[in-house]
Amino acid sequence: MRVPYLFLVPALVIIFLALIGPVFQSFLLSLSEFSLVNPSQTPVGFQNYISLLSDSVFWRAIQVTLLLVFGSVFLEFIVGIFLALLITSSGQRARTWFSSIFVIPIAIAPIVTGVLWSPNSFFDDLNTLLYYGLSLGTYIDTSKPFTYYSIIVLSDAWIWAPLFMLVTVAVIRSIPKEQIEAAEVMGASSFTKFQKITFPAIIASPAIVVTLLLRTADAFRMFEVPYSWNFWLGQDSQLGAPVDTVSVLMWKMFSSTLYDFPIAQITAMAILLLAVTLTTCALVLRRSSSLLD
Amino acid sequence: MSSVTLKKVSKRFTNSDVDAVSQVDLEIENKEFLVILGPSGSGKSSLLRLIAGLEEASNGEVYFGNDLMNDISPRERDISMVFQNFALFPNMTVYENIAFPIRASGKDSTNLDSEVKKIASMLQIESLLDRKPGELSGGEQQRVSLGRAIIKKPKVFLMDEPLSNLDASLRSELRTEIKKLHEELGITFIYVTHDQTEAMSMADRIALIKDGKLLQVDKPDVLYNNPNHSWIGSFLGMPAMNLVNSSDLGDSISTKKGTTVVGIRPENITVSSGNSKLTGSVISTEYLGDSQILNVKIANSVVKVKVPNDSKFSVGTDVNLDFSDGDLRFFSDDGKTVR
Amino acid sequence: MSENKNKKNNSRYIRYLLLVSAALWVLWPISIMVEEGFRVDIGPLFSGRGASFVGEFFQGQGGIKFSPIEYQKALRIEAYPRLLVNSVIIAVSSVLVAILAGLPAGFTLAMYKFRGKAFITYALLAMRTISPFAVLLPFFLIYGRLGLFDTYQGMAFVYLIINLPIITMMMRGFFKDIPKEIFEAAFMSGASDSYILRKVALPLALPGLAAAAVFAFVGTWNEFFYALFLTGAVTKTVSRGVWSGFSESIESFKILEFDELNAGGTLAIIPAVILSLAVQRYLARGITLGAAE
Ligand SMILES: Nc1ncnc2c1ncn2[C@@H]1O[C@H](COP(=O)(O)OP(=O)(O)O)[C@@H](O)[C@H]1O
Ligand SMILES: [Mg+2]
Repeated sequence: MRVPYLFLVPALVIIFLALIGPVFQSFLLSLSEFSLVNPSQTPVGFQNYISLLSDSVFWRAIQVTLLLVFGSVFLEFIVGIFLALLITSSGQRARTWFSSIFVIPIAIAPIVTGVLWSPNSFFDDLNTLLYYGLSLGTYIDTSKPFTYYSIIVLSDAWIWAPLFMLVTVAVIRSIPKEQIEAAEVMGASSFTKFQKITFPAIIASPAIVVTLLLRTADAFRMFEVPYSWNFWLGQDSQLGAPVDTVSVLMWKMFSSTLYDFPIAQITAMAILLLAVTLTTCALVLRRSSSLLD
Repeated sequence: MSSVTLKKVSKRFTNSDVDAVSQVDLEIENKEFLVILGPSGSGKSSLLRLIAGLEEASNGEVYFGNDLMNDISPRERDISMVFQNFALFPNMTVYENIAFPIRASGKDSTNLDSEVKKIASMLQIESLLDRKPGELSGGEQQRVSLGRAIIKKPKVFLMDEPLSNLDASLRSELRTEIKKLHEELGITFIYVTHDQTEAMSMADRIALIKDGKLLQVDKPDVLYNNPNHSWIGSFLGMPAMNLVNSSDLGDSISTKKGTTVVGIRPENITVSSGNSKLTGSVISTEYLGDSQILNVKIANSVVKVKVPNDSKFSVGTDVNLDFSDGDLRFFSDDGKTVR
Repeated sequence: MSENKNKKNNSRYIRYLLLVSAALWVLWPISIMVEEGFRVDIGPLFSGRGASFVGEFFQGQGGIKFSPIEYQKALRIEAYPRLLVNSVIIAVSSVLVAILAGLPAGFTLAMYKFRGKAFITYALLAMRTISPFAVLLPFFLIYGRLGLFDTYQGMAFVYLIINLPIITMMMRGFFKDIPKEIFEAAFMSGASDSYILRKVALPLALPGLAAAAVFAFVGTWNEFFYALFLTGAVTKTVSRGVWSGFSESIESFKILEFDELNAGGTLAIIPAVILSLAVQRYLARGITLGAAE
């Protein structure tokens, strides 16, 4: 069959202009000495990467990012399965209503999510309730690292657990009814059914694996919520703050006048992040059963 | 109008390690009604789609007349195809569906309106022209799709199980009509089905396919009476040909040299009170309405015998079986007919 | 028998209890934002004081002051309607361009196997997943040179990074959902690809196109990062404005006022939530580009 290659041209032009060209230029920038203040480029090889990899601020950002990525993705995966089990075992009407409610966070702008989960919104009332209302004399101190890391992870799961729910519901629906019925006939309890049939099916499903991969790739570029926390914690002008993910660190280096626009280092960081993205996407393409049909 | 020739055509799908269609040589004559028959998954659709150009052959050549078709897209092959699921355009009316091939190819459409109406009346769907496919029954939809297929007067008309989604009475009605259509149009028909009744009743010749390989191409009666492979005997006929190990038959029957399996059709065996070539006991009976099947155990084999529906046999009684030697078919170890 | 029934009922109650708690968990932060926008403070119910705690800081306020004033303020501020208009102009034009390019590309990806298909699919996946920093600096430099900084065209183009993958891959999926025999019948009728796209594929996938367009629109509406760097006084969008205040210039972040932030946030999420609920059937397809199917 003759392929209408012309149909691909507009999309390819955009892919080259908006993606490949800029990425290529970023890569070149990362190999040179360059700043907005002094805009002459001198090639320096992998010097930027070397200095980056020996920079403790960068490593700290990597650690923070990994903590948040794996914490968030793990939590939303678990909560998503849990929600899916609840949803699939309830009636049609409840299912429609509750899944509509559950997906609302996905529609909310990430920066607004940052505001939603700020100490001054969410925890304002909660703390008032705890401190005065219940007279517990205690409150949630959002300035404690454990607390704010947890909150960031929780807010990410708040947004994305419903995605895992949607995908898991589809997987559960695709489990052959006979399998479940056979298990029931043999007297399996709900837990056994979950353990022996549902859960293995979920884990083995390419759809779930692909969703995990894509969420991981997305979480690596996590920006808005940690960015807002820099403000809540008053650390927005300090490099290497406890909530600096790699993206936030790049933003700080870029926007702060203190740092003489170290564009080369920023792009080097971006290219490292890109390597994670590209690897994940390659895995997605391999694992997805239908994308290349 | 065109003959179709396949030369050593094979198709292997990516992600598969067997050929879906394997080394098929087939010559379909101009104006012939050829039925490709085989069990589900045997590669019938793949073979038809190779002829259509919807799949690319991994090996071999496809000719229409003398023209090599391998690099010609289905658009330019001058063919029409009818599908099992009708594949009508749900957003268009019946009229628009039938007119589509003319409008889409930008052909001369001065007579389009009368053409559409003529075809609609031929297929008895004039009254449905303004309806959408969703408002039609299955049989009506398949008529529309036949209409859409014939309006462009293709050289070759391909059908992939066109009747399999319809219920039995509609099926036999449309069978007759498709046959009539073939006579009126005078073009080559290639018709895929897994239903042997369909194949037997419609085909000029049947191409029997199994596991992607063409086993035999012959007129229906030849295929039925003289299968060149024991599998064909066991595939055709309801019930199928009895296949009995020659060792179970003893010396009473003379076989050709090299025979390991002897075949005989249930309707060619009679229960006799006099002459007897074989004796066995009835282990069960199946009532079929117009006839009755006895399952008779002979040594280690069970032989099916077709008897009149009013005859009475009780399970456990011994019966004598008779048949003419001319109805015996002999097969060797690998299933091939011993001649 | 009745014991069994009781057990069943109990587990049903537990299930609904869990579902309702999950729904509250989802809605709580949102309702607090809405409520804070109204300047409601629950503190007085208990002690006459409100409280929020950020580290050592203690901010107390008193009295229930239910008032729509922040919403009125947000709407009255000259800039706010302007932000809405900006977001709409940018998102709509970007989505339209993405449709023009993505529709034929999605059609080709759905219908044909060809060399380069994996490359295009991979590029679209990468485009969806890439960290904005990997392309941001080249955009920044080039936009500066071409005068595209803070222009509608410039922003519409940048957002193709979000919209092109969504439109192309979602449409690919919708075309795939149509039985392939319908297209094969059309091919064999002698119809050209563009005829099939216009007369067969598009009419059948029109609801899908609407869903994809809505989904892309919401994605652009919610986007914060590119807006933060590439918009200015002219093209500032809602999600950008929600964060940095409504009236100041791009350079100075004004002291964040939470009530205003909450009111603005509420207003910003309303259209996104409504639109997303309308297309929730396709959320998973949109987010994973159809990879999780
Ligand atoms: N597009 C395809 N990709 C991979 N395998 C296929 C494809 N189409 C058919 N097959 C395989 O090829 C074999 C023949 O299929 P098919 O031609 O559809 O058989 P039939 O029409 O006789 O039922 C089957 O094993 C089927 O699974
Ligand atoms: Mg078939």
